Amino acid sequence: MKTKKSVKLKYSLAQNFLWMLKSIREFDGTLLAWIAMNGVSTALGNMVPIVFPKLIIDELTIGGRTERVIFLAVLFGLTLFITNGITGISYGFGAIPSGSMSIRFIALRIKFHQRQNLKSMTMDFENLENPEILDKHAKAERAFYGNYSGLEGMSRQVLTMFRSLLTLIGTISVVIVMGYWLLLVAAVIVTITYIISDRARIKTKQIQDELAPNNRKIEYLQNMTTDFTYGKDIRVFGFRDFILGKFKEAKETDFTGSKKIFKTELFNSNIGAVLTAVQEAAVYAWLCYRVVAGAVNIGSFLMYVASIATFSTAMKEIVNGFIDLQQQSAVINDYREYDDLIDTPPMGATPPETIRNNGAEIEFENVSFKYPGSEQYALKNVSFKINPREKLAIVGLNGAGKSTFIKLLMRLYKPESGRILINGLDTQIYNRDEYYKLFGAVFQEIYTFAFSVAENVSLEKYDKTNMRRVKETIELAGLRDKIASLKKGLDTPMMKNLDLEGVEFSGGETQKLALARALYKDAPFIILDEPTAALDALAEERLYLNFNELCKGKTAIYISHRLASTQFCDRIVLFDKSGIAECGTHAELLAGGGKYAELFNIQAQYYRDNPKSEDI
Amino acid sequence: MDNEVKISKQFKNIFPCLRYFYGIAWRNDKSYFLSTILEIIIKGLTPFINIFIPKLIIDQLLGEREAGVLALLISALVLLNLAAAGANNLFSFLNDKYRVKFDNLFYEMLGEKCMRMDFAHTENAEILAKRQKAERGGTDSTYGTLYVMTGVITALVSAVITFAGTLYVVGRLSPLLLAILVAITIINMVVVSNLSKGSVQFYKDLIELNRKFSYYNWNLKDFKYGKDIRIYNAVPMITEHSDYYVNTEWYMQRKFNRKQNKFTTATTFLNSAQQALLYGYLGIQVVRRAITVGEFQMLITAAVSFATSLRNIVENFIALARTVEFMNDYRLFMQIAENSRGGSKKAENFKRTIEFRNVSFRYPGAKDYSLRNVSIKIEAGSKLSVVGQNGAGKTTFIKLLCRLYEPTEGEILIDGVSASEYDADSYRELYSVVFQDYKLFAFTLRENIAGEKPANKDEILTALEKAGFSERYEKLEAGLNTPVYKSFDKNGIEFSGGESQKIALARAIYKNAPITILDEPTAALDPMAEYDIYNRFDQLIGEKTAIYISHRLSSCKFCDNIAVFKDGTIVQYGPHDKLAREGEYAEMWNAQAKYFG
Repeated sequence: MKTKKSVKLKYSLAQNFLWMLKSIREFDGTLLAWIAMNGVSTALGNMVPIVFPKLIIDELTIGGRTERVIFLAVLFGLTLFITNGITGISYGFGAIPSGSMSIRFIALRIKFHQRQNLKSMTMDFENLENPEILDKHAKAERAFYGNYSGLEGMSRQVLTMFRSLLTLIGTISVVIVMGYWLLLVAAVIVTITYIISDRARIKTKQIQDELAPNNRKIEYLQNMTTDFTYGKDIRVFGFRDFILGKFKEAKETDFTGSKKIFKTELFNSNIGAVLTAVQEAAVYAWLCYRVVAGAVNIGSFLMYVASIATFSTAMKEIVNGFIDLQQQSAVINDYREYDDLIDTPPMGATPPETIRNNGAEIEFENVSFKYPGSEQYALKNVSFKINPREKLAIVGLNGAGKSTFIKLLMRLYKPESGRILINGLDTQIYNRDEYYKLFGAVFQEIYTFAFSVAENVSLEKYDKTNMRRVKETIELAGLRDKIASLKKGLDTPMMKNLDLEGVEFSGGETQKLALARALYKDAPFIILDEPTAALDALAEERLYLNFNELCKGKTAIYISHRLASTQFCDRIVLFDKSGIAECGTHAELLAGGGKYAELFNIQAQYYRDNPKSEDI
Repeated sequence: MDNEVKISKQFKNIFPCLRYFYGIAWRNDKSYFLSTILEIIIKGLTPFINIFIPKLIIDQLLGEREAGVLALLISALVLLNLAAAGANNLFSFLNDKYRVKFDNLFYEMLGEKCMRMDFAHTENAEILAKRQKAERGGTDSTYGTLYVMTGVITALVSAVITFAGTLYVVGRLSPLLLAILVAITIINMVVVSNLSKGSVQFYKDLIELNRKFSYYNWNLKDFKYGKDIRIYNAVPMITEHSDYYVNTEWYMQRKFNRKQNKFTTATTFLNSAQQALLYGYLGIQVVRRAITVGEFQMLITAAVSFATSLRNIVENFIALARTVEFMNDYRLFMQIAENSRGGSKKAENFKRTIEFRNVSFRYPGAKDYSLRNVSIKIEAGSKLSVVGQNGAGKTTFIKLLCRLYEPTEGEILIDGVSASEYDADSYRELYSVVFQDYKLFAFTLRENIAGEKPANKDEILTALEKAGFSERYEKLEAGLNTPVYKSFDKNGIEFSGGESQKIALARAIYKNAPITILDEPTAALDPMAEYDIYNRFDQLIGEKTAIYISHRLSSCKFCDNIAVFKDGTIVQYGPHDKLAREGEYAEMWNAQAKYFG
């Protein structure tokens, strides 16, 4: 365990530092000027209270001129005001700095956070289900945890270190006069501090890594206990005490681990206190000796005391800053590794307009596919043709590859072998984003966004949404009454994330919404994956009756477990574990007496007038 | 955004909140109080080390210059400072510890409250909002209770001690200086309080904005949205929404910063003026020989401590008043009444009938009734099918039966006894339910089915088998210890919709309660799996009472009676053969049956 050296990172501290400077310059060049200004004003502000009191006390003990004392005091106040004033306006003081720079630091983080999200939203879909990439993503997330991590953390740290460095130069020039050997003492103390802090950092990191899975557990349990969607099951199955027990256990583990970290910190800071005391003792003893010997006057005595304290603080900040820089550099490294992931650029031709205007033939040519990380083929050697503007039903048991088939067609995944052709041309030649435009889809799991109902239909921002079309499709999808019952109609926000007045749709309503979404898009290919699973009998029938009208002039692919739905389709394909097993019209397949006929009869028997009820 | 927050409005909540939270602390960890009191005293006295001892050293250096005395003074200074630093480290360690401990405790209490409170509350948007606020108030270490309990109170009270001491030191030697300092500090205070007036509102708005912002930057990046985002090209919409919030935040911050900058500059000016006045005034006193150089140094240090402590008192008091608003959110949430605990009767068993007698129900805050005058009798051992269109009141009917809600009017009787006379927990023991929107937990398969009950492996396996899960189970390497979901375990399994539904069904079977309720239990199943469940329905339910809700009316065939819901009432009731001829039921039936004719 102990010899476990950290994994070699792709980018070194120096590389990340340069990258940070480049990024700041790229996004907000003025921030660099602010950093420079604040560094200088802070360092000067640190030197002023060291120099002026000495001058005043010298005047008190030697000169004794009243007007000179007043002059120095006023000058002291003025210099303080200028230096601290600049520091205050630029960065602010205290625990929650609020000067003009702090928002720039935050903006920097947010810009990169948005950049990462954009990457996640546009990268190849198949990456999203690849565990390796998920892992990279989770690590890269740490760059955005707060004001003191990642890019923002590093740039704030660089500011702190720059200030300390200037302060250090200032105080060294004072201390060196007093006796260069004091610098040696300080250097030894700093070295010890660094070694101890670095050890503490490694130990803390180790404990934190050990605690990480437990933290995820705590987060999950916290969400679950306070997420009311679990409420019914928790109550009816009496899970409350069980979950609380797990929660307590996880918290106990966290408490024990955190205590270890706190103890390390305590030990560390106590060593620091002792070292400071040693330094203080040495400085005072040496200075008193010099005063008694007549080599130093009382003004200089006070100046040296003050400057050595400022010197140590600056030194400590640099040491801690350096340790933090290494940490943030590792975080930035993870972010950059994710950012570097190679993505298929959205290149290629735009699909011709004829597809939209005249429909197109789709052909699967010996297509095979395995999910990333899976051993088994989800589809093997599938060859199949879909005619222009055909209405095709896909049926089959769970896990037979129906959803995979449509995912491949939509290019959410790329076939491992074989080709998918549209009008005889390989779909891979098209620009991916343009290709997506050919499809309107209702997926099995439907996700709504915390925007308005209208935006959930159009998936365009409200000012770009065609409201007339939204109304039409809402009507077609059978949601008109629901929308009419909402106070704000189509502008009603959905979900509670952004607006507590937001509405939550039931399963059936969500399914209708998804249908409206697919219709709004008005794409030449429409794909419906179990679009009626949550609908009641009458709503389902309405969809069946309207189906041909809804999909007029389009190619439609309809996946369903309800075999009644297949009857209004031109053709039916049945998937089983080996791929496409049967294909034909409803009448043909029924007459063929194969698997389809079997499934159909299973469902049909309940609806026939004289069921063999004794069999049930 | 809310109206301007008045800090003074929060004053009345300070004591109730402190009593509430410190009361909890007292019951859980008395050592916290000892530690806090010691910390207050030591922190309050620490500044005096550097007020007195350097003066004595300077006096010595300018006077007798005795090596022994100097050595003694230096040792005292160094050792006392070391002790103070050590104590400071220790207290910060203890505070870290208490912070984690109380964070855990408050979260646990909140979680328990959420899981225990009336279910009706959990579907109430207002309560949802209160829950979020309570979470922040109870556990946020920047804005919540922990900030007060491990920071503000200590800083406030120790500042009072420092203030009193320095008041004495400065006042005794130089009453005029004291007057000047008080004047400057008061002016400063006015500036600071002006500054914090806006800041309370600002931070409140910021928290709200951050919550929204985090939806865009944390929630929406969830890969589950991936398909829709790509196929529907939702990126521009999301980006534009996100940019809008980023810009709002930027302008809000900038506006606040500009305002803040004025006050920061004013405060800096006053502080600088204070230093100039201190050095000028005390310097003149030295020149006039009214005080010594040692006293000069001491008064400067003491005066700075005096001003700082006075400011700390005011600032921490403001911080307390500001935080109390958040603390109160937690306190109020925890005090939300629990009405539906019911009576004290233990529900032993169920033998004869469930009866709804003129039950009407309206969701809290809703205008319209969801159920109107529903009366129905369900005999023990019978199977009831509940059908109707979406929104007809089927699920509400079930929720009332399980006492997740209490009827607005009318009553529900179990074997002739009103359901509300039973203790809610024991009443729910009577029911096994597969809800339409059932949830599985990221625990093991065993725990998902049996919870913490001492699990009998054979019974669990039987339940899984009855639910039609056996074939899948055979393929699970870890068997019952298989983690569900990948949340904590890479080897966890993300079961498909159909598989999850079977696990939920197994959970209901394992519970072995006298009344089984199945709400759309086959929605995600393929025809074979559905057939399998239908076929074994009698075996699953046995002699027990069952209520079956489904849009697939085929399921009505194996139920004794069918209740047809429409607009919150039961419009038809009876066996399939009777109902299939006309009315609502016949219409629905034919809509499905005609395709199978």
